[in-house]
Amino acid sequence: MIVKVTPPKNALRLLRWFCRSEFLEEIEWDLEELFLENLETYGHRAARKRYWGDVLRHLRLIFIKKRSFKFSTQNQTAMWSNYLKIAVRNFWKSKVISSINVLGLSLGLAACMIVFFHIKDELSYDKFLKNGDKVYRVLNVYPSYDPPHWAGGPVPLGPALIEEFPGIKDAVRLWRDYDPTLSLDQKVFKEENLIFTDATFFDMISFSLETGNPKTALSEPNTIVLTQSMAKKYFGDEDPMGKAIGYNGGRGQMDLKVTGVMANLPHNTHFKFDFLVSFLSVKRQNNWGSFKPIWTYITLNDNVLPEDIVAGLPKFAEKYVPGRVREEEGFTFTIEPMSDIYMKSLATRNMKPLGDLQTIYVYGIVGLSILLIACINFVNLSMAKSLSRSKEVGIRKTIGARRGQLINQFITESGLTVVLSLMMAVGLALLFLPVYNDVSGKQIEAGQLFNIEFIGIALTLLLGVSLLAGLYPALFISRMKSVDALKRSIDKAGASLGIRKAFVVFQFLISATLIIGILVTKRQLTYIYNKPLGVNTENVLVVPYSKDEQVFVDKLKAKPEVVSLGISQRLPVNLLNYDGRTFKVEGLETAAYAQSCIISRDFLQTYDIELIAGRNHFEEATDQWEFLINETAVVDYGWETPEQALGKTVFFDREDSVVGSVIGVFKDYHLESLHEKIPPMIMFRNINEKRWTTWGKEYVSIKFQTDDFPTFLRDVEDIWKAHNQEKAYFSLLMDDSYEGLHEADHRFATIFNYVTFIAMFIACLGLLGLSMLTVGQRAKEIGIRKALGASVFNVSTLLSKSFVKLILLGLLLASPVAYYLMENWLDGFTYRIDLGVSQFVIAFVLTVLISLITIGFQTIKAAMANPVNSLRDE
Amino acid sequence: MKGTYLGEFEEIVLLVIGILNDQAYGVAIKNELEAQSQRTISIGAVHAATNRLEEKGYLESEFGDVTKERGGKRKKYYKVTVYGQKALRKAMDLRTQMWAQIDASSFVVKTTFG
Repeated sequence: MIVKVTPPKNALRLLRWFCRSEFLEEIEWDLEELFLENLETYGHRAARKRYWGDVLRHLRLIFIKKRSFKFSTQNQTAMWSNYLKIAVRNFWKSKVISSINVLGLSLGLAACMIVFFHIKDELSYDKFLKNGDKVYRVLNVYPSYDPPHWAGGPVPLGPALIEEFPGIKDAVRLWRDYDPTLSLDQKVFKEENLIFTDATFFDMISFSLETGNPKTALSEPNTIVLTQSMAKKYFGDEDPMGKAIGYNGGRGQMDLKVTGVMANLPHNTHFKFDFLVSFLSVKRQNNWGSFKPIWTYITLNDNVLPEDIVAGLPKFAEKYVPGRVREEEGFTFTIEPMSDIYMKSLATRNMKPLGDLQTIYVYGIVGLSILLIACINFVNLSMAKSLSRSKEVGIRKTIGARRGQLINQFITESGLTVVLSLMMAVGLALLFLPVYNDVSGKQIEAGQLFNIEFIGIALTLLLGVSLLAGLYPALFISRMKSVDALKRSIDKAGASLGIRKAFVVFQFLISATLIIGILVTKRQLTYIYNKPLGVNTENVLVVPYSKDEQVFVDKLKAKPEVVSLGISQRLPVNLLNYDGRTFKVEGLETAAYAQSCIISRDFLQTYDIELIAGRNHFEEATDQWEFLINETAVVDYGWETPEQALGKTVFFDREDSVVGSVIGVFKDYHLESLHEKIPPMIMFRNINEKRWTTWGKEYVSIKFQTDDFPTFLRDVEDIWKAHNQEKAYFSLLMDDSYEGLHEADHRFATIFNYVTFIAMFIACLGLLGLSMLTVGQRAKEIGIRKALGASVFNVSTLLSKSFVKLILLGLLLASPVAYYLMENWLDGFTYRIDLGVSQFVIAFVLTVLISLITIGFQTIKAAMANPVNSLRDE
Repeated sequence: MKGTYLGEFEEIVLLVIGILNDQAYGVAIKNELEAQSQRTISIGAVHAATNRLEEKGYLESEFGDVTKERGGKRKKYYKVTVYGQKALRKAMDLRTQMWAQIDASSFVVKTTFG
């Protein structure tokens, strides 16, 4: 068989487009002849390539058509006012479809705007700080841990770094003190955000003081700087400068002199504090073995590269964290620029929860998807609607409208709709902003909506969307031949039908993906709440440690509601309060690492922490140090069974004054959100209360059983206050505390719910509009079918079938996409559910149901209609 | 009428059309040009030149017969007009005249030592 090879069509089309007609015949002949020649000499591919080249070589001035770019000198106002009039009339003529169009688009735009502000806000963190890229935060790296980086190190780290590295200019430490009490006269408050910091703080981190001298504010012991809102809280309208505030907390008891007031911290910073106290107020400053919430920041000299410092850090760690750290474990420090902390830091245990680049991407993609769904709706509906206007187009063409004019007209129309939607979108965004702020915990103000940047983006959106959404229908409808247009031969529109179907499939792909997403996040969060944590936080009330311990404890135990009562240094479920320690263990060549916590005997009972080997501490006082460790520690230290751990000696401190044996192994319990792994843990009782009087006595956890919680709460408070007049009282329920850990996940889920709802809503709007149009166009057919005896059921199935097929296809395509995305999200959790078929099935059924209901009204209405109505006009 | 200047390429094209006699159409001109001058010439350049020359009046053209297999397209044949012939001759005369005036010794490659 001889296949006739022809020159590339597009090249020929191009030639015909630009070339003046009087040259065309000659050029075409010669090009074709050359093509045939080349075909024999060089083959098909090369010949086509040469043909293209030859065409392009004819792009010479003498061949190119003279085009008239001149604007018409005629007055076109009449034409434009006609377009406007027709646009408005059309809008009113099909009110429902027009409003669906506007509503869908404005919802999409509004969602997009809010996403934009969210992302902008996330990216603005710490950008207001000067030298953000020159100040570095020091992190600890334990390569064998997951995740290996964490923030917060030993007390003397900062000064030692300055001493060892000539390249380091300065260092500042920020030590979060755990819930101290501050008092002024009769006012006593428990404060969460007090930080001890070096005098260099204001030099390195560009917060400024409203009053006071930043150079000297923190250079003396016992001085304090407060934020404005705290100054107001303690001093009202008085001038706080020079006044004294009483401190009672982890670093002892002292009076602090106010030496400065600073503005409240903006929300978009990774720093979190209300008070800064001079570091010199801290007495013991030389413990290298304990990793506390002490964040160290450094600045480098001008010509020093961060890599140079990082290179020296392993050696530094080896020298200063002596004997504790195994070489093969490779413990070291590293540094990261301050400006990267919020978005990019790998470290856990930060001053406050950080953002995450991946979430930003997710939001961005979701925002764009919604806009895309809305645009698709717009295009789909406009196209379908324009078909019903084919007569108008036919007549315009017959009278002499040029194609360009028709395109102008249609783009103007879509532009008007977009302007309308954009205005509505701004309104909607303003309406949603408070809801959004509430859900996301951000403080985005409405004023931000009206800055130059935003107006620029709005205009870009306006142009982009109206061109995108208007151009396709405009091109499509203006291409119709006037005869076809007049005949309303919809068959000619077949090509566009394919694209419209593809659009519907795509919309449902996105909606179904989002619905699957909702179901999966819901299940994961439910899993988190119901997962056995290893501790029972139900009905546990926590109050601060009380003086006169024995009397206080006896008083409480006498109450019938109290089931059990434990005193401890830290609380479960929040790792920040824990104390990472390295110490020696018998039989281990290298240092052991664990989170440590001092407890009283009843701590285990109070939280239902199960012992799986050995025994608990004895009730009676003893002179033996006795340690309890968790399962993870057993595995970590290389023992095969929990029993093997029993009796092993632990050298807990360097002076060998806290030495004893492991007496029990308790079941793992969670300290952090389920994103994180359970670390090795060690718990023991402080037996030398003479030497360390208050060591390990911070909280009293009370397990209770009562029907009248408010009364119980009041009773406990009264008993506590009778013993501690000068300290601040607080109480918290452990259950709330655990929920707080997953606040970020909760937010994600809530935002996700809203987003999915909006996306689904827009997609359904589109479906509704399309089904209305289809039903309208097939009215006669339905009439005839009914006249011939089709039942309501027959007709409605017929009408729904075409849509259901598309929706099913969309769902089918959505499954792999959703699977991939959700696997990714779940991977962020150490403890997670597995993706099951059920979520997909439920999502499918849900989507199909929702869409059937959406189109159901239309189809059933059409199927019930009296055929006479649709058939009589003609 | 534009200027009557005859460029080098135009001159060769005119000559080639003369050589091809009554068979001078685009591809033939291109092929002959390539054969004569030993260089690759694009068909676009040929078309540009012939059309410009026609505009100047050096060439005249007529379309050949309609052929079946090319979908009704026709070849365009070129002929050098009398005016064109004059221009060619003039160009040649100018050259011969100038060649005659060149002193033979000035074109000898001089090799000097020292």
